[in-house]
Amino acid sequence: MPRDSLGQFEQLVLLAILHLAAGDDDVYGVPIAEEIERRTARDVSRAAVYIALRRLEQKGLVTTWMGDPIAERGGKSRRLVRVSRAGLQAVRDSRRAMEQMWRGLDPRLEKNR
Amino acid sequence: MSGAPPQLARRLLIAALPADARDDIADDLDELYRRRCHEIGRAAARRGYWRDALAFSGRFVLERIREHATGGDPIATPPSARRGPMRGLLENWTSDFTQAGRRLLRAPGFALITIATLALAIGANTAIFSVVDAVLIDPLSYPNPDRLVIIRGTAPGSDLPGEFATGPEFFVGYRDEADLLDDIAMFQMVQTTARSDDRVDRLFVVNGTSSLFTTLGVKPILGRLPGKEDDAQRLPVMVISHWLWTTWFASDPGIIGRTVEVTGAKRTVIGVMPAGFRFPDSRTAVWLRASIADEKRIQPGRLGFQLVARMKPGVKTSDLLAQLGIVAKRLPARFGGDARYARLIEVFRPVVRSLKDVLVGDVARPLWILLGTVAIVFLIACANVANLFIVRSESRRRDLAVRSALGAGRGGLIRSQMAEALLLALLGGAGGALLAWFGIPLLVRAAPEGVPNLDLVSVNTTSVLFTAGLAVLSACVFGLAPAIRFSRPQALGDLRQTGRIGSPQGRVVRNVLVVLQTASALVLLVAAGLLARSFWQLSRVPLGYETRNIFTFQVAPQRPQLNDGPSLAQFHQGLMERIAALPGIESVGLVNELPLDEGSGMSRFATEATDAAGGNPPLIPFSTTGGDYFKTMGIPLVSGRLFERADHAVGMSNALVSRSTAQRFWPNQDPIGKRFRFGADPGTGTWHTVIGVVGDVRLTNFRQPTPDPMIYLPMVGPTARSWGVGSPAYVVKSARAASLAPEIRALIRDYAPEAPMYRIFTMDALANRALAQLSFTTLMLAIASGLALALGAVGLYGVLSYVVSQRTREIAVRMALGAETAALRRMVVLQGGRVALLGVVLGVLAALGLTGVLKSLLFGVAAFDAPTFAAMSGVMLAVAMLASYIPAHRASSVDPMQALRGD
Repeated sequence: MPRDSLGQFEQLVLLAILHLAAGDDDVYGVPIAEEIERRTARDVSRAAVYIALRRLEQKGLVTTWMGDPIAERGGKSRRLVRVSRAGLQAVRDSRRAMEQMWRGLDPRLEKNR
Repeated sequence: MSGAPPQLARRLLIAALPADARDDIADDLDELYRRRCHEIGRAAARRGYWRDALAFSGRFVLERIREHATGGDPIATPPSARRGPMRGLLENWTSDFTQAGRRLLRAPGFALITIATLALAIGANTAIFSVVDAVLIDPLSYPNPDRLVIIRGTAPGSDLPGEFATGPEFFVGYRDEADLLDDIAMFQMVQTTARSDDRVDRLFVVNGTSSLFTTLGVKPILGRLPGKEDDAQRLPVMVISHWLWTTWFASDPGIIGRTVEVTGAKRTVIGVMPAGFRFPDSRTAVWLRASIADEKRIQPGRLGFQLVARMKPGVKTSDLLAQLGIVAKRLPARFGGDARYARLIEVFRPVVRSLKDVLVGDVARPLWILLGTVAIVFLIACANVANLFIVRSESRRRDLAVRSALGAGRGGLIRSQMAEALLLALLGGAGGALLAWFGIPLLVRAAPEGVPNLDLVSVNTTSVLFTAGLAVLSACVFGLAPAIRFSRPQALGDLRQTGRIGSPQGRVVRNVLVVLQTASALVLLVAAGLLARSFWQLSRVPLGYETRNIFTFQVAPQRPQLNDGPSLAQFHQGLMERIAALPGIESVGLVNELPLDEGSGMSRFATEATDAAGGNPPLIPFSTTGGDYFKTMGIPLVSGRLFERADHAVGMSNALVSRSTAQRFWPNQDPIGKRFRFGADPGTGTWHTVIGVVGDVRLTNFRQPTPDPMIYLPMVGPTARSWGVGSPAYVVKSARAASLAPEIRALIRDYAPEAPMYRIFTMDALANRALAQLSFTTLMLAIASGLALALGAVGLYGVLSYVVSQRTREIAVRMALGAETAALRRMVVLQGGRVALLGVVLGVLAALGLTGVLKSLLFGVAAFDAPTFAAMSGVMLAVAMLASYIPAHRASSVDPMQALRGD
């Protein structure tokens, strides 16, 4: 287990990074926010995503590095993000915890829908 | 084209982001902004950027506070941030800011006064600068506007006005022969009736040659502009303004090809101009194509047409003037004309003015004065802030010395001082931008009519940044000096010193600042006083008629049978009777040109005496009147009688003259029964008999040194076709003047459904409009000088209360030794008084040098009016004494035992 458990928003950010990593495009703050918006259909503050990334990096759950220079940015490069080994473990842990908590609840919740 | 994101937002973002993430995030958002510009447009992208910038700034500041509060290590930056020494330096800055913020929270009084002072000064500066920028600096949206000129003429020695618009022969001559011009156009603005389907209104219409648009270099947003074919086939085509397109035609994209009736003829819409196009001003709704059908048939000497031209690149005005002068001299040879025309051309000189100067006109001077005024307010504010900073850094000298002794570097100490200044300037700048945001609409509403481009005024970010920057500079300059001094190693000695008495250098600087503040505030006070006196004098000028309880409007009937004097008179007689029958109406009259609104027509009038003297008979303003015009306007009858119903009939040639006309034509004689001729030419002029003399009036404004001579004619001339009152101004006397419009509109709709009712005012509103320029400038200067007075008082108060707090011990000793409280109070008040007095003396001297710029606005008061100077100096001294009294009172209530024990 990591030092402290993942917040819900941090989980969303980590999962979005993993989704994006499957594609070809660069993974950084802006597309991460858009990925969460696309999948959850709710407004996401870009600022919140960047704050979460900063905390995740401090916790060692993501690693960042500077990408190649890009013409549209005037030759500057983007700070790209990847989920670290510890990060991967953290999402798995929190998924497991969630599944434990959900077990046995489904029928009752179905009824109330 | 996407361009850069909003600079203010970007700066805010940069300031709020931590150093280690600053570039990455800012670059990401820049990239996003550019992408969105393409996807959703520039305006929406800018809004989005602002939202992001505010969200990021807010979140990151909170995040930083959270890190501090939870004991999170603020220095523990992620590994990616460790990129060289500059990063560390920037990181320290952010902690400097945090600490500066905390220190300011512990000194809320200082922080609030500083921020409020800065916000007021920056707000006022930004508001006025934004107006000046839109109105004076960038008023024209045409390509190469500096090459556009208005060409008029002057004829010294003739009785034509000082500068006048020329005629078609000048246009043709200049167009064909002046090779220093690229292009030239002739135009005339008229007000006329336009109708389309169910809409009918009076619109401002420009009759212009088709070269008008090529000269200005503009393009329509829809359709095309008139060209050579239209001229060749004499097609009735028109171009409409964006305003007319949106309001009359609901922005219909299929407008091209539709016909609209303008000045009684059907015309086809061929183009729609963009929203920003306003020529010659924003009132213009329609541009009609006008052309000269046959240049051989031009009658030279018909003046009143404006010429606008584009000079070739690099042409000097003096060269153009010389060339136009030569062309003008040749006009009689080409176009002919009578002897009078030849005499006119002999003395004629062309006048060339830049289009910008013509459009901006009289508003330039008041605006520059206002800008100067707020600049002075700003300097006073800077002096205040500097003063506050000196006081503050001196009170921090022990703190600084301790930190220095504990090993803090000099750079760090200076940086911490600067961080405070920057933080305050940032907050003050934000407050100022906010004030300007709210203030500009008020300013625009209070501004006099006819200021071009007022609707384009918006908060000018350059100005916010510029003024905030200056404020920071002043805070730094004055705040830094002590910071540098007390961060020297030898300042350690200060630790032993009790630090009660401020440093002598600091005191001198502070006193100098207060003297300068007092002087500047006095200059503004004197200026405001002079303007207020002018305003008072001007509003007491007798106009010769009343303005209270008079409602006025114009109506333009359009029926084929209304085609001569008697038929029009009958129409208006009927309408006047109907209006008079409404409840609460005292009297109704009409006049073809209303005073204070459109002035009056002028013509030459002759008598037997002027004919005998030879030369041109004098030009005198005249008006046709009907109904109870004189009674309604309160213009007194001096002798004889007024028009009666029978005078408004064909063949009756009776007339009224004003007192000064009578004096001019028949000095020291009884004018009743005397004759004058309407028109200079004995062959065609008609003779009229004076039946009465009425009081003099000022036709155009309050500033006229003498009233105009006037001749009043009845609604119908000697023959049915002499003249007719087509669309006169009605005047209605009623206690309900302000609320009559709907009733009368309903009445007209019933009586003459085709006739538009327009130019609806009360005479009071017209009088206020005539005073607007001065009242606006006076109001703004009064606000500015009030601000200056308050800031000056705060400055003096600040200095004295600091001195008192520093001298508490000395005062306590004096009191313990038996000094009287009154004497102690006097001591402090006198100290403030001496400084203020010096400021007043300097201020009076400065005002003597500066009030000259107000001269053109002043009325009935000299620029060096001694009573105003004395009164305002008195006010300044009184306020200074008041500001000194509060610290003096505090000094005298010191408890000596407590003050001495506290050491």
